[in-house]
Amino acid sequence: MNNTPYQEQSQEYDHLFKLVLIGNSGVGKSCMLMRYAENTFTQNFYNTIGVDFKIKTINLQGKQIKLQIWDTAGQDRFKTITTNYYRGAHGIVVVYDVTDRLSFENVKTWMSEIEKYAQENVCKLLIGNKSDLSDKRTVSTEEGQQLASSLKIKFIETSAKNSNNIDSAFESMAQDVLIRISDIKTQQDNERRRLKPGVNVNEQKSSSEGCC
Amino acid sequence: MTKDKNKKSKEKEESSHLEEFYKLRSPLDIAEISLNKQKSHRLFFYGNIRNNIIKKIQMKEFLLEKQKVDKQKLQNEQNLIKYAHDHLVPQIIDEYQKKSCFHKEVCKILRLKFKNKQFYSSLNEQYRKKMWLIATDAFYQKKDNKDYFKKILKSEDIPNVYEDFIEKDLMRSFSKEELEQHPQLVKQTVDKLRNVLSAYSKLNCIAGYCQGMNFIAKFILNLQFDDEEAFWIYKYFLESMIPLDYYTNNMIGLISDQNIFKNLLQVHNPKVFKKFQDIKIDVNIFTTSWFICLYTNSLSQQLCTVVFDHCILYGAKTVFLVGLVLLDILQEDILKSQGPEVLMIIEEKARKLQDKEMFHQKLIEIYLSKKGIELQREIYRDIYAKQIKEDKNLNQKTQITKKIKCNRNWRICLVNLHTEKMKKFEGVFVYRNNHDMIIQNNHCTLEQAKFQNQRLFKSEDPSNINNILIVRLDHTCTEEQQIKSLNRQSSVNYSQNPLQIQNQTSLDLHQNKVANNQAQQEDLEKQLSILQIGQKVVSYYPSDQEIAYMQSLQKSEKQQNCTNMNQEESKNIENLGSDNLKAQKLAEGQFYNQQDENKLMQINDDVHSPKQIYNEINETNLKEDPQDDENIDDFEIISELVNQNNNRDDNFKASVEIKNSLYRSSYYKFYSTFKGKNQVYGGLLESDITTAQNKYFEQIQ
Repeated sequence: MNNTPYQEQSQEYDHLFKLVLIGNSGVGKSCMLMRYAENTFTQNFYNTIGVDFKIKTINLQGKQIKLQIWDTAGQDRFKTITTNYYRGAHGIVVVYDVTDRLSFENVKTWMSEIEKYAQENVCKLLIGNKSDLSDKRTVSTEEGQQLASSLKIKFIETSAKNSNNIDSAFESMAQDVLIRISDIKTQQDNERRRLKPGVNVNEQKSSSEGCC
Repeated sequence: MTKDKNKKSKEKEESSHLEEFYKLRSPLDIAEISLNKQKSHRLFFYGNIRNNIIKKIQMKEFLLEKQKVDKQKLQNEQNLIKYAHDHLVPQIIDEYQKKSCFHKEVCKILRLKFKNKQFYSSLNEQYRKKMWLIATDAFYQKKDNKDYFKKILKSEDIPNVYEDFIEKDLMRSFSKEELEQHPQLVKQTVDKLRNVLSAYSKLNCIAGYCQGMNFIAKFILNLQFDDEEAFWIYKYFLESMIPLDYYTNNMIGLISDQNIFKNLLQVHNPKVFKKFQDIKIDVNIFTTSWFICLYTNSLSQQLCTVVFDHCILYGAKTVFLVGLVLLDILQEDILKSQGPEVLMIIEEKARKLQDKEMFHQKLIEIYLSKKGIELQREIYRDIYAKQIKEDKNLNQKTQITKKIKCNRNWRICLVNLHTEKMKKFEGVFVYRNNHDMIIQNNHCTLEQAKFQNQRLFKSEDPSNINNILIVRLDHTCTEEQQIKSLNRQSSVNYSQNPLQIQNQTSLDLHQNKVANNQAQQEDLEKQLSILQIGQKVVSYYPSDQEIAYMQSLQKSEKQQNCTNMNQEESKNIENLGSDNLKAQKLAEGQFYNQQDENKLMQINDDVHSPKQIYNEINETNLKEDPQDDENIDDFEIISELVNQNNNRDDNFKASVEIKNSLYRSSYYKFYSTFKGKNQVYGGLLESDITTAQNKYFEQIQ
């Protein structure tokens, strides 16, 4: 009963999207998430161990969409653990740091991880974070754009510090997932009518009621 | 007559225990028993299969030895209890600080003390610091390895690959409040933190630095230790408390422990377990950071000290207990929640908990058998090792933060460390957790090595020091990848025959023997990868000169000890004796390496006298967590069983069997024994069990 806001949220959404943030250590994945979900920014936020996640509900095209955003540890030895979360993801965001050349070069490695572990039709987005640090920049916007177009994915530069483009990045991701899901839905509806996007709302309701 | 009857009834009772033990199949069953004191005592100690094999041997000498030790043990035990009763916590700590290393004993006494809630609260900060230093052996490590810390920090012959990772995480180890309110303090701590982390990452290149270690180190530093002390304590926690494959080797250790935790939770608190299942939340999501950071980033400073106290005193099982207790405390909140939000609630509420005494009390209330945990670990390690082996995607290159070129002067080749080639060398790194070990001349001169070796054979309590066996890898980097090449003679031989390397690195020849046996059955590659599982890994290379020196030193010491045998000092000498044995084995191992493997085995088996077996059994026992009282039971059974049977013919064969079965008892090692064969059966081979079972029942009839 203490968690009335949570309860309301969990009952009032049309879709549940699972997004995963990946990228090298220290590129600002957690900060982006903090900015997006709670609109706060901490310069030195705890480094993520394993996985962490936040929830945000947004309104898109008149539909309530609950975003479950998974934040992952950047160090590669956590891959055994983090790659487990790729599988159920609707969208995967690869983040690099525009002041860290190596994190940019590693984007390709991360993309191959996605290929190996995620679903085939998963939505992808490339983000260059820390765009506010213009004097320390080592990766230009053009380079990022180029890489993204060679990988055939969307690209956006953000700054978690001054909140630049953060909302629009996640929203465009959600938009993509929505489109893809409705595409699939119409496709499959034509063949058979059985697909349930995300978690079934009714199911969750009944289980929680049973416990209380 | 009555004695006979007693024996028979006891045998019968035992056979029923055994039957019960065989029925154990799933790790969940084992988890259930682990949480029950009576059952686990009965099954894990009395029902152990190896007793059957031991039963076949007559060893009077062994028995005599055993009786002596038993008496001594009993007396020691009584003395300890009396001592604990008579003294206050601060007195105990002060007194033990004056003595040389006896950390096992201190832990025992303090455990007795802390069963009483009041005594635990009497442990103030000052004495806690002292206790940690003594009980983690940091105090003595620091003394014996003087300047080691400074040297390794300055040392330039090790690649510092983890520098970037460490640097990134330094500031991220502090909470927002700390950063804002105590910037001065943070500044001071950051330097120390950097030192501790980079020193350890150099010491152990394979484990290096893993995110999460920073929280452990920072927490230790928060208790006002200086960086050198913190380094040794940190090392103790990483190497003696947590299985090191939490951090390396695709985190097999972590994954298996997470599964064990799930099993334990299911038995201990089925309501919460079911709730998590209902709302489709994987417990692993939070246990990952709990286990990897030892709760340091999930609990308040207050409670963390309790967790660490318990880790020191009660051993590694604390990791599970803390999790169970936390979920118990948060039970109501968890049951109320509706979905994934529960994760945030757990995180938030756990951090707010403050009541130390209550936490301590709850932790001692739950019983958890260490052996039960070990059995489960064996099973899960096996499963996941297989899985990961099959999943080729996971066996890939690792990121290198900076593009560093390899340097021939380095003790470890970057190419080996960071690319797929590393796989070839997996078996090279041998680290034994449960063995009298010390830092053997890392980056130090021959003189220092001499000094350290002396310490190695004088230590009074063999189980308390962690040995680091380090091997030099042959540089496999190409010219381009090097900074410069020196004409230094590299140890080419090492890389040519990995098995040989094992022999040279392992102080205990029997491990090699087990390994050699294996090698005959399995192909080389398989075995190498097996060896890496669960083993702690470090790097070091002795030069040829140093090896020769060490050999000669060990041999001469052995001779000395033989002549000095004196009953009055029996306790001390016993330890020396077992050390000698190791030294002897080492020397023999190195000598016979060049010869036929079969020959090597024969020689060693012949040498095996009851006394040596006894010593081995003794060692095996010490391999278990020093903090676990339960080990004592093993002795009684072995001696009893030995007493009952007089079959001399099988003596030789059986002694081999014992050794093997004893090795199985230590999960790190025995992992290699059953891998790839038949079905896993509570850590033992099914075929082994049936033969042993048959033998056992034949005997009864």
